[in-house]
Amino acid sequence: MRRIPPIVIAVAFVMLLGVMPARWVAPWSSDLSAVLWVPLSPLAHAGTSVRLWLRPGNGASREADASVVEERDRFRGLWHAEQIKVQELEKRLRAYEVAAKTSRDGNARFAAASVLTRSASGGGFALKLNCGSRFGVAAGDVVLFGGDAIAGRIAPEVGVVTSTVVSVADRASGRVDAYITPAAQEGAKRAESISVQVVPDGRGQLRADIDLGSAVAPGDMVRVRDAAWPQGAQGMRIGVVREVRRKDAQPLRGEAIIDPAVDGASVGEVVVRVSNGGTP
Amino acid sequence: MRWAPALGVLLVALVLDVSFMGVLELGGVTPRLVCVVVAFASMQAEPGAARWYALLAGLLVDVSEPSMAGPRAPLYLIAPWTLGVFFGSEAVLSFRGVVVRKNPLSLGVLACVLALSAGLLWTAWWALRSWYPDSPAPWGSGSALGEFGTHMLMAMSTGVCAVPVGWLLLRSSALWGFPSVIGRQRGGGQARIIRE
Repeated sequence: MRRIPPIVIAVAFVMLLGVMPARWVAPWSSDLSAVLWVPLSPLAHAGTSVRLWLRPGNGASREADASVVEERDRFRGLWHAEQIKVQELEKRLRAYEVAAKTSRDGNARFAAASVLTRSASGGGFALKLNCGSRFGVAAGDVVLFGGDAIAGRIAPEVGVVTSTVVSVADRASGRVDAYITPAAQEGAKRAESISVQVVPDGRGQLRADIDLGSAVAPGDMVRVRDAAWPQGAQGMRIGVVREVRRKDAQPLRGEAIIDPAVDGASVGEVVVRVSNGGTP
Repeated sequence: MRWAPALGVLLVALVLDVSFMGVLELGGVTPRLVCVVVAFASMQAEPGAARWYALLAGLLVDVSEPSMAGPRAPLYLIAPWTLGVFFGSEAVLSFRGVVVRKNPLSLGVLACVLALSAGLLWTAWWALRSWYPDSPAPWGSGSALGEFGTHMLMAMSTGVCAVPVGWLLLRSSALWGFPSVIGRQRGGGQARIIRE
């Protein structure tokens, strides 16, 4: 009887694994990946640091400036979040004629994480972080970069010491309710806000249908206001309007092309906003 | 082929691919060092060892790069890269007889062939998988042809990158323990492999 070569058996086994349903493969292959990357993570971290040193992100400034800008962006994000909160409170006041005091999301805390690997995914990027369920990270937690810019959300299947970020430009992120604030009114107390629904276009950008007569212009900030997202993500930057153009299919409607607020190539350190009970 | 240095080079290439090679990214296309290393081994090593090496390299890529589409994301699906790199290695094994193995340009061409073959199988496999309800294709609403176009560009950039990297690998070929010369006894007889 002719003996079957081991390589043929191995290839057949791999083909069998390749056609198995995802629910059978995902749990153990995630563990296999985590085990493989335990010894390789320090090397990958060093490689990422060198890459960022050789090719920093656009607009990188001096370290001192960067920290000031980061601080400014963080407080600006908090300010926008507070603005939304104030508007909600005023609405309640008008409705019930009582002064309501609601507490901010006090359960949330922040966890700093380093980016281990980066890969293209669904038009956006996927980042692997050295921060997992041991630090309280859960699926759906918001990942921030540079103060108030949203890099993405933690994907399901969080490992003990690693997790994966799905970028906002990834098709897997789906639609996000947001609002656009004209750049000139960024610091205004009662800034105009235009509600939109942004959708990843699969080519690294986001798109939103708008009224052609609206005041949306290139350079305007796009911020999250989505009830399905955690409280801590409200008011945070998701992108900036790059271009406004007429829709070919609906000439009376316009379309805003939005650049994500975070460029995956320039991210080395991020902050995960760990919210207890967060859901994807 | 000596496995210890071969595995070491493969792991270094894998780590560089996912962390450092973004430095050479042009228009969203990044060369893949793993493809260069596997093409080099497939050019120089015994066919059996080259096949196992390619299978292992593809497996490592599969467990390093998840698909973010679908409800089970991140999904580390084992097969698309494993079979793709294996398929590419078979292509290199077929072509290696007609190239000058000691020339880095040959490695550039064969690394491009390997990356292209791997990309073709990767795209085909995910197109097949996308019939499953829980495994949408990583390219989402885009087309498989568009994704293969990206892989073609990646293969070309891999081929360009393989020339300088190939020069370095060729300098280290003594370390790999490849059978480098096929000799024949003067008085006739069977061909035999003489190691460097």
